[in-house]
Amino acid sequence: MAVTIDRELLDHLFPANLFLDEHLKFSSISSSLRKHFPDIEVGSPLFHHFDLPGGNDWAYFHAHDDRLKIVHLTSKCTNYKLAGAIVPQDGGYFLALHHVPTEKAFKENRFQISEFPPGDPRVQGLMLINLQRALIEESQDTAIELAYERQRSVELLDRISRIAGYMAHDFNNFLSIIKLNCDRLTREIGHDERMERLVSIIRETAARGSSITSSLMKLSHQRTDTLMPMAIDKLIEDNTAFLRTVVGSNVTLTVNLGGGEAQSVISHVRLLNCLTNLLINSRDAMPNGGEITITTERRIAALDGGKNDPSTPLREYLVVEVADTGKGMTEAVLSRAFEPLFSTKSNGTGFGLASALEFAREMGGDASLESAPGKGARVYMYFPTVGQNVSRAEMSAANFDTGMGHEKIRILLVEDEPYALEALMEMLEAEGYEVTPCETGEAALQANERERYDVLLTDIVMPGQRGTELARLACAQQPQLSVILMSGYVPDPSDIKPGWLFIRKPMDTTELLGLIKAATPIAA
Amino acid sequence: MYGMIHKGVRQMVIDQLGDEAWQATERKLGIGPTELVTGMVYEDSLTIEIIAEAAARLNLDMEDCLVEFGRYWIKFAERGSFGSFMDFTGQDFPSFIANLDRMHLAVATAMPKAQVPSFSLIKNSPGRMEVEYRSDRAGLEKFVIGLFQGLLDRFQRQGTVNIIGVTNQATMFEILHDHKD
Repeated sequence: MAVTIDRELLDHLFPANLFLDEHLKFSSISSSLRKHFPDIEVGSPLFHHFDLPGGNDWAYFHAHDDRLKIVHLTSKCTNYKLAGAIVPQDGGYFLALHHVPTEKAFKENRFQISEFPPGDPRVQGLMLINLQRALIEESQDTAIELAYERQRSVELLDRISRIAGYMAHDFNNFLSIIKLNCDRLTREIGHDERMERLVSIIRETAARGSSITSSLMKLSHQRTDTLMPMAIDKLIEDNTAFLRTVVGSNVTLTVNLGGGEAQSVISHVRLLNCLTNLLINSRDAMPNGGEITITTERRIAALDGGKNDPSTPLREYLVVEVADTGKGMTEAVLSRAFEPLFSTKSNGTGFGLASALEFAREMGGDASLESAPGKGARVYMYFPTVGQNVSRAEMSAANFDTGMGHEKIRILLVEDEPYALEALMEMLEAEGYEVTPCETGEAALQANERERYDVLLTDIVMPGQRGTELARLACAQQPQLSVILMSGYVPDPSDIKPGWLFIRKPMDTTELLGLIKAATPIAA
Repeated sequence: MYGMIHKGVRQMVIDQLGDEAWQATERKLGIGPTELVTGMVYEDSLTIEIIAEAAARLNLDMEDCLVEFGRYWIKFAERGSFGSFMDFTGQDFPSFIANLDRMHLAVATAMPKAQVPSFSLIKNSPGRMEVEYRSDRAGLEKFVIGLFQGLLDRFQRQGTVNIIGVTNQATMFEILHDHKD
């Protein structure tokens, strides 16, 4: 049965078709092939444009055979491939071909659906590949967009955080002035109940403002603690009940305090955090219970914070030891135990020991660890002891002895806020100190060059020279100088040298006087 | 609907009103890049909310906005990652329409939660086509009119799109265009 198919239907059924004459020259090609091979002209030989896989064998076409022959053609120029069947006909051949899309041709987007026969299953595959490519591109764009958005959020948070920090600093400065002047008023008015009541209202309101600034500082990820000399034994003793709750009922906590009244300049909040982290580590190392011992003692050592400096002088340290009877550590674990983010626990953060080391070093000390498998672990934190011992109770005593009998302690006072400077100077002079007021770091350095001072009491954030830089230079001029920093900001610990004291604004007068006393033991 | 639609609306708002207008839209709707992930399927209500907000900002009623967005959608898809996908679907107006279902089949295979519509080319005579549209979603006929107008633009044709029949199951569109084939 003969069937007549018109050209349109033929192109629809076999989009890649061509006719050859008996000499294997093109007599007609479909529009789809024309698109891909615009150089093919009617009359040009097949083998000028295409190769057969086993060599260009004319006989393959001419051999008398009733069966359909399969043919694969590869373009000589583009490596483009066609496959299909040879249909002999009068005076030539009809080649019913289909495209064999190569990766390159497909990437270059040379095809469209209508170049494939109806129902060709490859179309759906090609569609999916194409769609997948588009989705991958989209995913990449989305990933970039999300990363950008995240960055934007981080920057926004950072900006908010900084603004909160600036606001807290400025408010603290104003609150400090208010509090200092309340103290002045109290001194001026003597015994007048009504006035005392008014001063007390102002002071309380300032204290409430201070709690708001503390919140702002927390928002800006600043610490709100004070660096001051304190007896670590007393701190541990006062918090033993809390520390026992950390270790739980399964573990026995023994506290042996041998440091006595020895004081170190530390942040008590951070020391408690460190102890808590170390206790949690120990507790987790003893899932079936055990014993933890906190021991303190004074020890003479030469620690250089891991710098291996042989010239480091000997000095006294208060050593806090946290020992457990847990499973201990292998040598490999021990060697990495202080690395930040290193943890052998599945839910561990790896911050406990790392932060203990960081804290001890920031405070001018160091930390070390001893452990062996089956023999538990011992963490030692060393904090340099300071001057004469001044108890916190003494410092915060409401009726702090301001006795005029001080030997004239000379204080170099630096504060860029004139009202705060005035109030501080008056208060310190009333306490019997000899005060040189300066509004800038530069003026203070000049004064420090001329005169000998016992204490540098300086604001940190000032126009021009910062208080920390001033302290460094002033100590270079006068190494005996004790430094007390004050600020609405809590400075970066790396800006504070071991032994320097820090008090956060708004300041409490009695606390400040206590710090001065601690910084000048001769007066104690 | 899938997130690419949201991205399309975003680009339309940015193109016509600027970056600030889209940022204000995001703030008002409480959305961000996580609601614009191309391959994610979101609740239709969110998509409608986004388009409605875009309409308000573009000072268009919802129907006009859907037409506008349908037309814009074609441009948006062809100039983005899906350009070659569209080229593969068809390089002339009738074949593109005829192959829409095959294209959507691939979309549905790759994104199983996407509820894709169906388009059947019922009649194709010089200058006039009839296309049957079926969808599980209701109320998007104006968007479809915009899509056809966008395709007329894509293939450099002038024409009009009308709805000539509506049943419960399908909507019949008539596309009259300047015949170039």
